[in-house]
Amino acid sequence: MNQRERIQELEAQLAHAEGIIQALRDHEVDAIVGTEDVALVRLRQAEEKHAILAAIIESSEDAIISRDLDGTVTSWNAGAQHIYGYRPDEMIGQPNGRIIPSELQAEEATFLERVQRGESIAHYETVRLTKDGRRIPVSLTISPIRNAAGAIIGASKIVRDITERKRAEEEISKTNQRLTALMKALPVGVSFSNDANCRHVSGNSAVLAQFAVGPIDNLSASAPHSDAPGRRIRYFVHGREITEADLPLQRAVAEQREIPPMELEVHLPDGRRWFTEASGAPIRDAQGNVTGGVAVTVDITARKQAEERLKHSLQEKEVMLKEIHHRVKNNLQVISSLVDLQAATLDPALRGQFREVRDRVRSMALVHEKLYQSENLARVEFSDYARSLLTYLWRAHGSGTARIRLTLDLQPVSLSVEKAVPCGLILNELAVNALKHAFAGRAEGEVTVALHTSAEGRVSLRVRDNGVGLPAELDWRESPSLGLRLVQMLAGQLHGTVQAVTGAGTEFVIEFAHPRAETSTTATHD
Amino acid sequence: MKPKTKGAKAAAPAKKAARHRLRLFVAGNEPNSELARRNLAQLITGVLKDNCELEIVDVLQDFKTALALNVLVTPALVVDSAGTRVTIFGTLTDTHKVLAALRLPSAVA
Repeated sequence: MNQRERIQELEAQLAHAEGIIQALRDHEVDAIVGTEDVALVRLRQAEEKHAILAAIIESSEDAIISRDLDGTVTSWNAGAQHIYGYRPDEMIGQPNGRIIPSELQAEEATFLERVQRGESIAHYETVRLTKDGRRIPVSLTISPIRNAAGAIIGASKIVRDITERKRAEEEISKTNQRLTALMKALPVGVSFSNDANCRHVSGNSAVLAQFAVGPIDNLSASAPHSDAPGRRIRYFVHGREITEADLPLQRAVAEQREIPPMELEVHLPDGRRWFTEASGAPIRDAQGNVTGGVAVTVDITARKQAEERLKHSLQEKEVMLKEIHHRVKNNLQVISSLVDLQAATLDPALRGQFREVRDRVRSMALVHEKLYQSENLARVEFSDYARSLLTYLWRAHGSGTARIRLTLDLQPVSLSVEKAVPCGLILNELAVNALKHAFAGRAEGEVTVALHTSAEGRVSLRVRDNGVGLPAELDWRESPSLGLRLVQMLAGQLHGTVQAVTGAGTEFVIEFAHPRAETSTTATHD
Repeated sequence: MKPKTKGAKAAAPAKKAARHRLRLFVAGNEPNSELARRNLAQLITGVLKDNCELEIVDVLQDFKTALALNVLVTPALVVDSAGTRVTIFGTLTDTHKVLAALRLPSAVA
């Protein structure tokens, strides 16, 4: 082989070697052929792994830093730049002490010692310094870096900026503390369920006191433990026992809506009974799904007891008032009977006058009788009163009244006692007047009594007879008759008017105001 | 660069050239070996046509042939034509390099 051939041979070998190197460099090789065997090296895959790792490190929001055992930074990713503010060229090759506050340098030295012993440090929370001098809370994870021989040559650090997390934690802690304080301070019971089936119900201290349970007891009636206190508490609405599903908390969760306050009677296992006004609302997660519920229970036992006492006291007063009306009526009736008895001993001319007195007292007694018979002790149903009074008068005035027909046209009008008494006396006078004088010399006649109310709230009471009429020469307003004078006086008391029409018989019309509002302002309880 | 039509005419004499002996060394179905196989098949269909004979050697089965030819890595293509031998390492993705080794004008590909 001459020299030229030798050179060509060497060049060929060189080209061959270059081809191999180029293929290796281009990662186009997948096996190396040795003298004995073939070694698959999967270079491409290894390269891909490396590229993925590099991408992860670069895209990580966490700082990923490596350093050697002297503390010199050997790598510094984009996350590190973002957190600390230093660029890679400012940090690589530099000691990493500048990002550690002076008082924490010793801590860092102990980390280094531990890493050198092969230990890792996970999620250690401490403080670091940024380029612009801010102190930021961070979470550190430090692991040793080993070479191929397994010797520790440095440390890798993953540093997470936990400023936001710390802030959020503080917020949550503050909110929790506020909530806890609120729960403790609330005078009403608040109970919670954190599951959509209300199998576990817990509550604030007010609820625990209300239901006489301990802080770890389960208030749910469907609690897994058969001896859970919640299973032995019974609930009643208007005396009817209800199931757990009807309670506001359970309904709020099941119906996924707020449940307005409802009154419950609670029977505790120890026999104690109390009343509560309870309302419920569902608790939803961020997606709007119901994940539990909350109920508020207000102890209204005292209010219920006060209501009961008030009701009882009112009932007592009502009974007393009825009793008083009864006695007044009885006394008036006694007076009327005494007058009647006295009249019997007198000569007929005086007897008639005594009987007029008797009828007047009687008409007043009847008002009290109607009062204690009515539901409403302050008001008299005047149509009812008029019917009773006229029936009495027709009976009391003996056989003569049989030929005088009584026609009633009465609308219901409820009058207060102050109006019922004068109005009753007026009716008494006019009816007695008609009975005594209207049909003198007549075989028969008719008296019509009408009671009407107008839309304007005026009451009109009409007493009409088809008798002989008033004497032509009589000015009834000037009449010496006590009856007619009484009618005018009493109409004055009612702030009303009296009119008389005479011709074919006589008609008296009494009108007075009876505002509708009076009904509501003076009405007592039903 | 020559226009395509001219390139096609220039390729015509190549068909009459001496037959090439191609030996492709692969390592089983490893990705680079598979890629080399596909690239070579395209080259044969498109350019070499019947003007070659191809042998595929799997070094996992037979590494001695590879060693004898100094093929130290796979994939590798050993081309014997007109008394000369050229070895191309890699996936044969660089068509110019392959055609140069075959002494064919590169514009054909």
